[in-house]
Amino acid sequence: MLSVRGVTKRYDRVLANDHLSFDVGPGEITILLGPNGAGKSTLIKCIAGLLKFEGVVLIDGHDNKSMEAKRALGYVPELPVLYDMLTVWEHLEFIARAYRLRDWKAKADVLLERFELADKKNKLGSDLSKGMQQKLSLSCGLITDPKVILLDEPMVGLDPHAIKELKSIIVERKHEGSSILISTHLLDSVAGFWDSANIMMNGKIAASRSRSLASDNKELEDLYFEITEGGHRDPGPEPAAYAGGAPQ
Amino acid sequence: MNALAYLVVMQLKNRILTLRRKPARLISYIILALFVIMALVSSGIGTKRQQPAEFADERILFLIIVAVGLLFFGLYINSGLSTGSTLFSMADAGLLFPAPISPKKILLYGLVSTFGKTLAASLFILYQVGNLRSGFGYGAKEISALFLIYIMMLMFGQLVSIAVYVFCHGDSRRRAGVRTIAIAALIGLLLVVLNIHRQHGQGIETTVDRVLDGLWFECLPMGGWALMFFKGVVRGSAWKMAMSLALFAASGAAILAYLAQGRADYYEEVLVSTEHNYKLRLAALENKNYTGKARKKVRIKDAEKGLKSAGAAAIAYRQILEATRSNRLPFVNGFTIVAALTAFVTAKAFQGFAAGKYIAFALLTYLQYFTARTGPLKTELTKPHLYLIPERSYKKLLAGSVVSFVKPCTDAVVIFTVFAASGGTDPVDALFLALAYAATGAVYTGMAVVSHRVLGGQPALLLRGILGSALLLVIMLPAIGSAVITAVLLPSGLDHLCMLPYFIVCMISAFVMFILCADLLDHAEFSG
Repeated sequence: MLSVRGVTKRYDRVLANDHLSFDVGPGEITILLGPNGAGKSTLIKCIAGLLKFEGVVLIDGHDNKSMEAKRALGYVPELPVLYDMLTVWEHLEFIARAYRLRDWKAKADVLLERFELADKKNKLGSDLSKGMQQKLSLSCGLITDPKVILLDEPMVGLDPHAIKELKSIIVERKHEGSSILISTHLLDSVAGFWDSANIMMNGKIAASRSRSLASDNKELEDLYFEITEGGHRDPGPEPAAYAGGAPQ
Repeated sequence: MNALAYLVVMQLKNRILTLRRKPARLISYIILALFVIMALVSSGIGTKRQQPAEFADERILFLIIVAVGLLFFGLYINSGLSTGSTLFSMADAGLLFPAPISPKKILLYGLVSTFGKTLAASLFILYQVGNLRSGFGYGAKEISALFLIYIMMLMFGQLVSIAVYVFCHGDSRRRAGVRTIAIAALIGLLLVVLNIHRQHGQGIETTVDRVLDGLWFECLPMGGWALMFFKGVVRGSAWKMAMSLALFAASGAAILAYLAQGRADYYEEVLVSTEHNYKLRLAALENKNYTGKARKKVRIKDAEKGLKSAGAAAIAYRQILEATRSNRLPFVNGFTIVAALTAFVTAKAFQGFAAGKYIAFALLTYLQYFTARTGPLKTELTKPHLYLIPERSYKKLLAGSVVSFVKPCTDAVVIFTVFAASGGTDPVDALFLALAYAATGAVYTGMAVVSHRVLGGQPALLLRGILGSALLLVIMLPAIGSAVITAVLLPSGLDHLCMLPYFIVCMISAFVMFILCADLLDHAEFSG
């Protein structure tokens, strides 16, 4: 599971993340909602160990910068940037070697098939369109069967087939027990499968909701606009109200 | 094979295999390689160094090494204070950093891959084999030494930049401290040189001799160490070579140890620099402008006034408003200061040398060329509104060029005032040189329009660059020719007038270019 405790990130005088705390339990999908500049990507980068911060992030019980945590983490960045001079298949092989994976080829084939990249195996990274790059980036993040998955705006640039496929992969991974954190500002893209939601505003979590507390997406959407456009600050339920497991 | 080795090998293999699909690139590599081989063979590189008596003064090269070294050192510190440098690509940041691989191994991978790229980029030194051979009589040993120190300086400079960036990132006091130390060191160096000059007072040559021979000078970072190594090679002093290598190695190791301390704490800084470099690269590929430098906060005093004028003229007003907001003195920016400093240095260096003012002028217009390439008009052409505003093409084009015309005029006034005041020439000459400089700016602006019209759809950047340069040469030749002819025909007392025809021809050329491309915005492709 993923545990975020008191994460604070400053850029000079700008407070990008202000004492953020929440948990994502095994088999739970948590979404980070918020307008541009709310601090979602910064938080994701902090969790992935790419930025320094104050506070604690535990991935599967390990400090996020430890090798154990890295092995348990799958991260798909907002910007799919690949090696120009590696083919699609070589990207996956590189990840397999870096994570010391065994029997990865079958998984790679399945992922490429599902994202319709099977016939692009020998294409170089530089020859892929942005959408294809995003699909490969997702494949690289998922091939390790991570226990914790961080997806930063994963639907951007994908075609309808890939979006459908990604949604079903996310739900499959949830059922397999992965903790999944998705950052997005497109509520519609995650409607239907989120378990808990954190609405971020100005670096803070302005409100938290679990699926059981919000009767439908409409309520979450209303809350989102109320917060982002109305200056609302909702203490919300305590993190314990939804932490520790997927609401049924 | 481990992941990092796999990454290096596969990228190299694919880079070579890609050449099969890009024959033009392969041919250009073959031609470049042939040039190098021809230069090596024709200069008799395999032979030993010839007798130095018949060749140019070696101290010129020593000075160049030190100047390049100190300049690199200053530039890398400066880049460390702003955006930093990076050993990594964005793909490394996205795929390697989160992977369970030791940050120290990742740092080593970054160093090795950067070393490979630096090595390839440094091959251009081999083109100078002929010059070094004929000018200084250097053989294989000396030229290899130059190649080596150039690579060492680049590698070390990048490490310095990263270290400064990591040290100062997010801490304005540290940043101010490093900047103060750097400026104080530069002033201290200048004072020491000045003191030596005053003590011995026998002209600039004696000062140069004393400075270059001082061991303290060879201990200065980068430039001094590089000089120490090269002098060791040229004069057969093994201890100098060893000392220089030891200084580079020890300092580099200290920086690496600093970066590798803790648990991957260099990732954040590297990520920021890598993102910056990635955006720069994307902008270059897409033919856009991107500096990525944090803009200083601008206090808006005239917001209530709004934009004056209407139609195409609104573009010009907007450009002027932006120019006045981005600099304290309108149109006077960092380039103006660099160019004014260049004018000062060249004025001092060529004092008493009749052709010195023309060398300075050539140097300054050469510098101007690079800023004109990324000037306001170029930026304007990458924005859609210039094409969309319902006005005639020539009106929009002229309006979009206003700042590109005004900026060289302002620069000319500042630069040639400094040049004249520093003893580079007399005020009348300076006036004509300033006019010629401003007219050259007009030609460069015209060239931006022509190259957008003629080469705008050309996807090959290299080809576009070569054709653009050739076109510029053709356009500039009449102006240069007119100046030369006038200089030959006029009596020596009137030689300042030789820049007048240059000015006139440049203005006519710029005018013709604009007339010919007046419909540019109706026909050219939007490249933004």
